[in-house]
Amino acid sequence: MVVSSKVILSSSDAQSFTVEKKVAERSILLKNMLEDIGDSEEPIPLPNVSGKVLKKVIEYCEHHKDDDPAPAEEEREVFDNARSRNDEISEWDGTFITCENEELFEIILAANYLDIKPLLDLGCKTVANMIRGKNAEQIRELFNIENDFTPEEEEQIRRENEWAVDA
Amino acid sequence: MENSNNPQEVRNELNQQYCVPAALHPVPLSSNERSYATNYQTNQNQTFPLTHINQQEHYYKPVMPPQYKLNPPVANVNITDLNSPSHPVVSPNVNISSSNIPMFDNSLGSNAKNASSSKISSVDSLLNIYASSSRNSVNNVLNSNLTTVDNSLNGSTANNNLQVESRKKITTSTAKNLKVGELKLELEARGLSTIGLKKVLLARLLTELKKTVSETERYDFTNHSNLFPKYPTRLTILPNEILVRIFEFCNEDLEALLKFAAINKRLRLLTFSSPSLWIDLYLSPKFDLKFFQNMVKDSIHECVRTKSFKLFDFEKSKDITAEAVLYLLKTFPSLENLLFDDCPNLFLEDLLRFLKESTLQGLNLSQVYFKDCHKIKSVDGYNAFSNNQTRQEAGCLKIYEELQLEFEKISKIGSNIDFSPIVCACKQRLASEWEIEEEELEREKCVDCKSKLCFECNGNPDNYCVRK
Repeated sequence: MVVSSKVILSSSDAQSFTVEKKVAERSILLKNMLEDIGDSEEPIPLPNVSGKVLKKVIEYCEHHKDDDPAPAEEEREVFDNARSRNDEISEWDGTFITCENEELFEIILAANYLDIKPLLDLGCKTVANMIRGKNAEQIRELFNIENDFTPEEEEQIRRENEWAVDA
Repeated sequence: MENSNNPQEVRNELNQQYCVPAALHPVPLSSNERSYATNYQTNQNQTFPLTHINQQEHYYKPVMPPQYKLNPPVANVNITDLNSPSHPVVSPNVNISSSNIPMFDNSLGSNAKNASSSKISSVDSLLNIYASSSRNSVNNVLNSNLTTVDNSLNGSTANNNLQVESRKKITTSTAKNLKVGELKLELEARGLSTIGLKKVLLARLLTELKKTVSETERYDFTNHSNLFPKYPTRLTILPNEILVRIFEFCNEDLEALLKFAAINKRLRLLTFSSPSLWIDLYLSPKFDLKFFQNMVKDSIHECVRTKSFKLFDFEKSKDITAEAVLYLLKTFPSLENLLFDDCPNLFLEDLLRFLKESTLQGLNLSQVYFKDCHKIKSVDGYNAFSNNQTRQEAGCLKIYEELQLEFEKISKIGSNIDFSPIVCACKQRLASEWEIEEEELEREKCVDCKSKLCFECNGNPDNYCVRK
């Protein structure tokens, strides 16, 4: 049971998390849902997010609960356009997102599902930063990606990329 | 309720449920509606409830409560190659527009009549999911999210305890057996918003539709246990939408992006099939024509094929030379709307060469636009259209003369190259330098005072009639 300023989130593995409404509303999905159903004592099921990941997501939302509110749908495009492409990550965010790849991808997917753009961007920036400084083979190894190019295709790609690598 | 896959049975059932005979009124349909309804029923094995279809003058429209609206879903949902970034990824932030949401609507005919024939099959398939034969599909669609709906219902009813007690709760098991319209009716009967339901339904619908597309590594929201089936640490489990987002953060690092494209075929195609990515690439300081030729051409072909990118605007591109222009025209003859605007490395000499070669090779210039040609400078960096004549500028006249000849050839083929300022100036300069009699030139008339253009105007409309 919770007071009206709090909501209960229920993960796919039936773990329940009680959070402030303000924290939950960092997620556009939850914000819209809460607007639809009003104050409720019932837990909100999140069947696509495991308890472990939901805990991390809540931790992020708790830390950023006083940030500017998430933009409304109609402002989203402007927001996205204005989104800086810089890859700067704050110290707290950097520490927060430091985890195994599997967990990182789960956080990204959860952020996408819950519609938490700043967290999604944080995950994407982290992956982008991981790619930098590594060659294709290292990236394949890092992310467990199968190389489906033939040797001939690989050689062609290598030649095509020479101009950029050597510059 | 029993599930049925027989369209006729379902239609009868729907008619029984929604079309109360006492509520029927003869409503004349428009000719379009009649035509559509008849064709649709005949050809598409339609499954939506039409109480009576015949060739008489009047048809019966089922009079339904307004909440039973069945808008034939406008087939905006394109299931494309999963490698395309435009592939609709099922996500909660998918745009929900009313036209995309299948709901009951008694104006089916009038809505559907605008659908193209190609869309009808999509409409039919969507209807099959929602309206009738695939009640199983509807149930499946609803299945995993019913807890959300249930919670929504139960949570909202908490606002009114009396109502909660007086009304039977919709449980997961009962809601599972409800059709879409019934569930919607139940929600509305309790005064609850159906917005959440719409989102759930659309997401479920997209998921259903996606099932028809084969993809081994795909994020599937319907079954959490299948989220990471084999390779939980693989980057490629992420949907294209997110991968493109990651690429965007790599964008300022061209090398990283190229590495991305060299990892595997899916990432390669995805990387270079996103116009927003490679259009930025050619603006990169590291961009060169070789890259353009070798890496991006597949993407351009894809853009041309899918007509996803209409205008290739090479504004201020330092890499656009006559060679690049020729390459583009030769390699992508079906490209539409190439715009070269203020490209600093496209010189008069290049332009001349381009014109000569394009004439010789019979290239189609009808979709090529050179904007502000009068700004194009010679290799020496002189703009011959300046009022300050210098010896070097005069040296360009030979080029202008040739340009004029080429232009005359080109003009017979048809071109969107705006050479008029050049030709005008060319004639002026020729007359000035070689003292050609003014009368020998076919002077254009000034748009302002209708007098012959003077030499000083140099073909620039801003300078017209300085003598007047």
